[in-house]
Amino acid sequence: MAVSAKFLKKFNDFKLDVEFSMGNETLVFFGPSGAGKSLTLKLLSGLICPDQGILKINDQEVFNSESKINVRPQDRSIGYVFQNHSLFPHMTVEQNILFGAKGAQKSVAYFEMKEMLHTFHLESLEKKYPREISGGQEQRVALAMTLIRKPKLLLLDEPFSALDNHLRTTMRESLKEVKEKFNIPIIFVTHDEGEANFLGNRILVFKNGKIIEEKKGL
Amino acid sequence: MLKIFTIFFLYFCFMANTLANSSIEAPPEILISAATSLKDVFQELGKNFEKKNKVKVLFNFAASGQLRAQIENGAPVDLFASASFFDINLLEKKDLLEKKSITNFIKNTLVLAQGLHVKKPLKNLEELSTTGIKSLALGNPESVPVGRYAKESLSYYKMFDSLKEKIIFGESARQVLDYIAKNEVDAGIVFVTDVISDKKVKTVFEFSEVTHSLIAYPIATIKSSKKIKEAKAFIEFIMSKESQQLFAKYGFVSIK
Amino acid sequence: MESSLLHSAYLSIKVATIATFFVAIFGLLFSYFLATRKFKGKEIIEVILTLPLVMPPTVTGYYLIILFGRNGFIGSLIYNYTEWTIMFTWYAAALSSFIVSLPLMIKTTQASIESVDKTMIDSAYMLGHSETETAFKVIFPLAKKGIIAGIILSFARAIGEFGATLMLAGNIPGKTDTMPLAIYGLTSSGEWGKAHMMVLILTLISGVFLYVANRFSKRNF
Repeated sequence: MAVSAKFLKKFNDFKLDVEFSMGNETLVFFGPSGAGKSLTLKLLSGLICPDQGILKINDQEVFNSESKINVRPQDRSIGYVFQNHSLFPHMTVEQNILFGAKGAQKSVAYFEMKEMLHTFHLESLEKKYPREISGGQEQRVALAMTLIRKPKLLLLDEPFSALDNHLRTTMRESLKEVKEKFNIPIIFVTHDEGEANFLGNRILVFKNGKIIEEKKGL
Repeated sequence: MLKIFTIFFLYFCFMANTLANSSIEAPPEILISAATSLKDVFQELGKNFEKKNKVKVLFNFAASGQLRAQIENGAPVDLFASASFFDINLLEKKDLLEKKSITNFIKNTLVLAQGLHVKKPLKNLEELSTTGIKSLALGNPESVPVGRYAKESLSYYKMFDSLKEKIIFGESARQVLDYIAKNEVDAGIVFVTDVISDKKVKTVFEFSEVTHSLIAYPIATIKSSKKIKEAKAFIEFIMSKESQQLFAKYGFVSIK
Repeated sequence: MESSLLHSAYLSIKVATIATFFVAIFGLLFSYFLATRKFKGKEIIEVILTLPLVMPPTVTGYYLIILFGRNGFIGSLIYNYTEWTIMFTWYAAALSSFIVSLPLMIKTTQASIESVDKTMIDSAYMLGHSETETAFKVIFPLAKKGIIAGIILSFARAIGEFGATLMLAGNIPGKTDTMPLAIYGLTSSGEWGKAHMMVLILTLISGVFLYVANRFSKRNF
């Protein structure tokens, strides 16, 4: 199993109680706003801690409330593309992508960055700042900097919600390419049904902090 | 870039300071806390004293109350010259002074003053009660010595109560002086030394010594001083005929 | 007189620069922790750190003497071991300026840091950067405007400091007479001409600092 998770988290009046597992596939979290999809991503990433639970990635325990295991977000090797503002406005496209290559030697990182520019069709944009490029280009840079480290799991929190319809369709295609090229498990959050069906091998339907249904994608 | 500059600048400062302090046999130094009103005359006295003795004199000028607070908290001064008895007495009670060294070294004169611009200056004290005088500035009797003496003198002439409505309080002799010079008030009561220091103000009436308590400035050596000998020498110096004449030049009255 | 004017100017620049330097470092440190941590007694600490802003400087100076004077809590310990007291030295002037400027730096910087998009910080963590690395590579650059504003305010406050300095460092011409103290002395003895001159120089120095700081804030980190 690539990922196996079980979380319990209480937040004021809200209670999250989910359990799921996945292989090397694209899993979609689908449901209305406030259902707990983004919260689950945060729990997977380690940015928020569950009250109780277990998380295993590639069969290694990354979190266990019983045995007090809690690997830092920095060390979980999970890629996370946030809903908005994924890029650092004070750095160029080049610097943003290099920022994701933490731990690699300078020359290696530089080489890999160049490769990413090529993979995501971002050549000629290296020296530009996020405010100077389009929304679609921004999201491609976000993917580039997240994937340069070759993470074990990729989390995407409604990454295309700020884009217009035409662009969304193009980006969805790109995501399929990403899956093929990088071959890592992906969890994709959306409240758009068409998008869910198109992208997911499997779809988990969230409601009020629980997974109420599992569907197969197209 | 700026960070590097800052680091060098700091380094330079520390080095310059260390060098300055570790120089060749420096002459002994005495530090004298003195009331601000004594600044000009003491700076000249200090230079004269340095010429006669191989001692360097440093001054610390502030209001007597602040100087007292500093000494109460261990300020490393050798002498304290106050503008009032109040602060010296407090320190004496706390046993912080060399009792035998407490000396009154000069006196001052209380005067009624007006700005030079006044067209019809007052001829005598009674004219203060006339309608021509709308405002009179005094130091605050609660906090400033010159105010206390002013109240005493006016009370002696039984005028303090009747003038109450015209009186405006200043928080320092300097402030009262400014009010007079800038025509904010029609007249004010200050020391003759204040009038001399300000070209825009002149004396119209001198209060005799009998109308108020003794206006004298005391000086004393601080018990914890390590330069008792030099401090004593300074007190003797300011009591000398030459120094007393210098005081007179600034408007003070010799103690003898 | 000419040489003492230069001396006061040099002293003021020295004292204010050193005070601002330490205010910047400690201010950033404290602001960062106040902006990112929740802990018991946080409000009390924030009130204590803001006190010098609210108290009259002379009162601040009085409390500084109680702490650092020769008989003070900390000062007496230092004196017993080294026979040295900070009172009436230019270090005391720097310390006074540091204490009164620190709250200004903390208030501006803390607000700036708090307004940095949390997603930026989360993103940096997910990409493998530790808390310290994220602070220096992401948070501080993004909070730059507020940090620089804090430093400018602190310098202005430091170079104009009077009340607390007067108490702890004294007004010793030639040794601790920073420009504000020198100006006070000149106005006390009615030397308005010289006083105006010094005010002009003080304004000029502040103006130069402001210009340099503004240029620095426009550069990219």
